[in-house]
Amino acid sequence: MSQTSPGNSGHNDRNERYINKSAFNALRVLLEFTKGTESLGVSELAKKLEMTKNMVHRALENLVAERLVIRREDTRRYELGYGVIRLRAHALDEPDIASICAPYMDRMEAISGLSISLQVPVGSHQLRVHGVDGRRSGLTRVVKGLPIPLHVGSGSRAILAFMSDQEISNYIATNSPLSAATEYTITDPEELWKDTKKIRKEGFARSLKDQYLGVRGVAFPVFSASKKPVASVAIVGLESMVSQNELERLLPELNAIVQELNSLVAMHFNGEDSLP
Amino acid sequence: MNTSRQVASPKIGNTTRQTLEVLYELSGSDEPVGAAEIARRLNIGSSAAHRSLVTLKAAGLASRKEYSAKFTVGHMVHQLVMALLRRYPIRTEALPVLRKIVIELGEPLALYLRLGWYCIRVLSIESPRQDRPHQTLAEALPLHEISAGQVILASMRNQDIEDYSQFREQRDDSGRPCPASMKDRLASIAEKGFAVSDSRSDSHIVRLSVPLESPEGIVFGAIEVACPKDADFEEKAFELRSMLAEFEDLVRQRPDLLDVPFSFLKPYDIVLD
Repeated sequence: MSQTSPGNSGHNDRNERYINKSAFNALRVLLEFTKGTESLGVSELAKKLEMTKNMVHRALENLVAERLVIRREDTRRYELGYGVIRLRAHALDEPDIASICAPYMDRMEAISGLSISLQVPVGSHQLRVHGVDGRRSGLTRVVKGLPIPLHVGSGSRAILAFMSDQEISNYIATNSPLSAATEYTITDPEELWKDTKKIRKEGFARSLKDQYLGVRGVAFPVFSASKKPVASVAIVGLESMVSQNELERLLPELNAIVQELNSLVAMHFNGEDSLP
Repeated sequence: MNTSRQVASPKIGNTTRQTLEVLYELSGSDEPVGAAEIARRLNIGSSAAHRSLVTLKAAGLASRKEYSAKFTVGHMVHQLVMALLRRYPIRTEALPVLRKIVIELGEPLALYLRLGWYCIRVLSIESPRQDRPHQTLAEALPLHEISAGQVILASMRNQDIEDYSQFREQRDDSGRPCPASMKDRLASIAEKGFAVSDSRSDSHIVRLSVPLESPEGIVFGAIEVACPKDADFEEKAFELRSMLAEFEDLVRQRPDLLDVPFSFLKPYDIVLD
């Protein structure tokens, strides 16, 4: 990491001469505590930041005085302090996945007229947390909060397919025999693996009558920055009102919107946190 | 709420401390702020304020509005707060269980944990009905100020309530009610098992809270939900408590979730207002 850009802020070089070096070093020390290590020692910080121990010590003195960093007497190591709470600001609202996805889902409905739903994984199920009723989907209101197993329907399988192989194996082992919502639900583990590979290759899941009879749809995964599937967006309509060909024609445009959405979601969720 | 201090503080000598003061000022401002305004508020020179802002911006802690000389907090502030919240494992582990309650109730929910003589909002889940105001994360409030803190306070021994009262008297210059005048109210809250306080952002709703107890019976936090002012609070609290059974099971099975940072500090060592 460049010594002058701890927050990757891309600051203007013209302004570099105005930067206060000692304050900047203290901020670099502070921000080191955001990188996943719970506690750090002086030598460790000095090495990571290519600063002298003396510089780190001076920086820590100021940060400790402000309780932004705390020194534990038992371990003699430093941790992020409760003073960080003073930095709470209106801009710090943790984004809600439904609020982030809602405008993109509206756009999907606008171009397709189909019903759009947002699902998040909760254990071995997914829960629908937001829905936009399609003006021509022929479906009734999108029901929220109903737990659906992760192998049933495209909204589920778009999440399951992007979990690790180990997670999928565990899911199958724990939930076998896989339940069927309709006669078209994939319940054979081998078939599910085949479907998983296809979804991974294409980047989205398809469904026809495997969750509800007479319903056709596709679903795209939504990823955190670390490529963990944190949700899926499904686009569905009655089989009699949307043909497979029409759905195929819509795919590139829907996919473009999902890519945009994924960039935004990745900015907000780094993968270490679950979604709010 | 503008949390900026209106009274200018004396000049701050140490440049690092001065830069941190500028950061606090920035994070407490509702609107983008320029160097001149920061300088005025902190009683420092404009060029010193400018240098602090440029330094904060280089670290990603301040962000300059396009085509403007004004600044807001930068994305690294969010990273800092999230890094702190990640130290509360209960936050992520309890999320699926609490999300189900939100969907069932149709109302937003917040999880508060005790931090010294404050309660801190560590999780805020919006409702699918988006007509309720969203609550900012990581806000710390004195225990007596909101219903979530009141249910925590009501569970304490009389001596602890006295200590809290003294702590507030030292902190408070605003004439806000102190718990000394709230003893009857706290006794009633302890008896009923829930507390209700007005919402600061919506006059049509109230915030109803029930306490969260560890398996040893110690109240470590509270769950707060929004509900209409004319609701039957007792019924609502009963409904909420029955929905929390799964959460209580989780806490019983995973006592490690109650490991909170800063538990080695004494309550009066933690000052946040």
